[in-house]
Amino acid sequence: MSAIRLKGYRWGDDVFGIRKHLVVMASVSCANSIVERIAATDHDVIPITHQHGCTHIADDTEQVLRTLAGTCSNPNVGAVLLVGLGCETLSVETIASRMNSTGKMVETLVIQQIGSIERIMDVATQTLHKMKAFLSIRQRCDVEIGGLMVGLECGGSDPFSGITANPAVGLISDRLVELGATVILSEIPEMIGAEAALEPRIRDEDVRQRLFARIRDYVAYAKTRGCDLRGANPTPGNMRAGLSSIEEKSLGCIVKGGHSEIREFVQYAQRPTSKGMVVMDTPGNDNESLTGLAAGGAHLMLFTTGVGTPLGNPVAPVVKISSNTRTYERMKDFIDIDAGRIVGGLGIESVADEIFSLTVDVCNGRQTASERNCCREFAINRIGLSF
Amino acid sequence: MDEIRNLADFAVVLHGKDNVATAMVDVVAGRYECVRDDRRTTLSVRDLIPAGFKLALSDIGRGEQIYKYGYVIGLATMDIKAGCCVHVHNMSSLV
Repeated sequence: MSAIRLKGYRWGDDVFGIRKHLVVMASVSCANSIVERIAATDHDVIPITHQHGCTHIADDTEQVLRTLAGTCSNPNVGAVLLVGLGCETLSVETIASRMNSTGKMVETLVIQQIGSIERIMDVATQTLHKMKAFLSIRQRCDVEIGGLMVGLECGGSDPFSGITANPAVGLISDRLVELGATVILSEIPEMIGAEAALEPRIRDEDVRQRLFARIRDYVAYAKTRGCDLRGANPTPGNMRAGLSSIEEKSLGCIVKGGHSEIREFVQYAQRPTSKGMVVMDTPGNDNESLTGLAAGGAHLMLFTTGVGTPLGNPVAPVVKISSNTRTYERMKDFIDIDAGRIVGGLGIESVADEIFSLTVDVCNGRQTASERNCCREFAINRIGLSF
Repeated sequence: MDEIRNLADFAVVLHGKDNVATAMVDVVAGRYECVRDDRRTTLSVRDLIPAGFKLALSDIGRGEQIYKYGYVIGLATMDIKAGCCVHVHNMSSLV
């Protein structure tokens, strides 16, 4: 294999990003409209709004905090303006103090402290000017592929997902792990029934026990809500396409994680400490799962899809790979690579090579379909009630 | 009707343990040759198996396990003849 040249933005000795985003984030939903108004003044600014930041408790608050601080800590973010209300559970200071802000510029703005909209906009404009100047002198430099973190996701699966797109991504997972990078497999409910295939890949007893307990939690939860998973997952659409059981769907889903050892099981939005293959505790909900992966530090996500989706992420590029050519032809604007050509006889290796080469290009600055379309969904996985 | 097609041109068997193949394109009714571990068998497909759906590679008795990807994806809820479609009408999840 020829030498892989990656050029990224270096924020610290062992931290590099593949983008240098300027983010304006609401610490609480009450600040959402102000964040949108600030971001509307400048095309280079990425607004992040959400429904949370207050009236949650305990581990739920911790998870929201981990997600917000983790998103700002994502290595693709170079500058952050946190906009708070002033009386919320998760203050701008709390979020800033949980961030890894090495080499980055972080500023805060509290609506209740400033008071008037005119002054808020003045302060924000001045702050954005400083941040743009700060980011403008950051240049790409050589970085090691071993420092890369890639998240895996699938959404709108069909029976071809497990035969075309996911095996091709599985080869990429193995290749990235061999190169010393970190790959994160996600979506715990889509591991239900695939335990036998995961088990031989886990050596650490603690990882195995916690992961399998979490898979059982989802089955138990569905039962307590009176839901028979067999009627709900595979979905009616999955079944019309030919998927017959959750085992079949799950086994096809985890194929994208390749064959290497699963070394760590992290919480939602938690940054992995291991290199190699890691599993993150995310739901099957694509939007929440992508948000968790990026908050955990993923530079980019490889997303396989059967029926097609525009989904993206505010800070991490999402590479979309279709499992069939019909979907690719219909939704070319939203999809980066068509793995459906495998049905027509193209080798899985060839598609994997294309995905790898595109991944390198995206790291070096090439925009993905989701970036071109400004798809920047952000949804936090909540684990409790709002009070 | 006498034409024998090669199953590999229409469907994929993902693992040596599997007793189903997945149709990559529509598998029309007819006779198909299937080669596995140098053993040739002939399958009769009576009804169209649409792309994405599974077909039995051998007779599968009621209560027997259905294998795909080399792992169990469910149990047969009735006797399934080789060449027949395997789906929710004749198999069920174990979860």
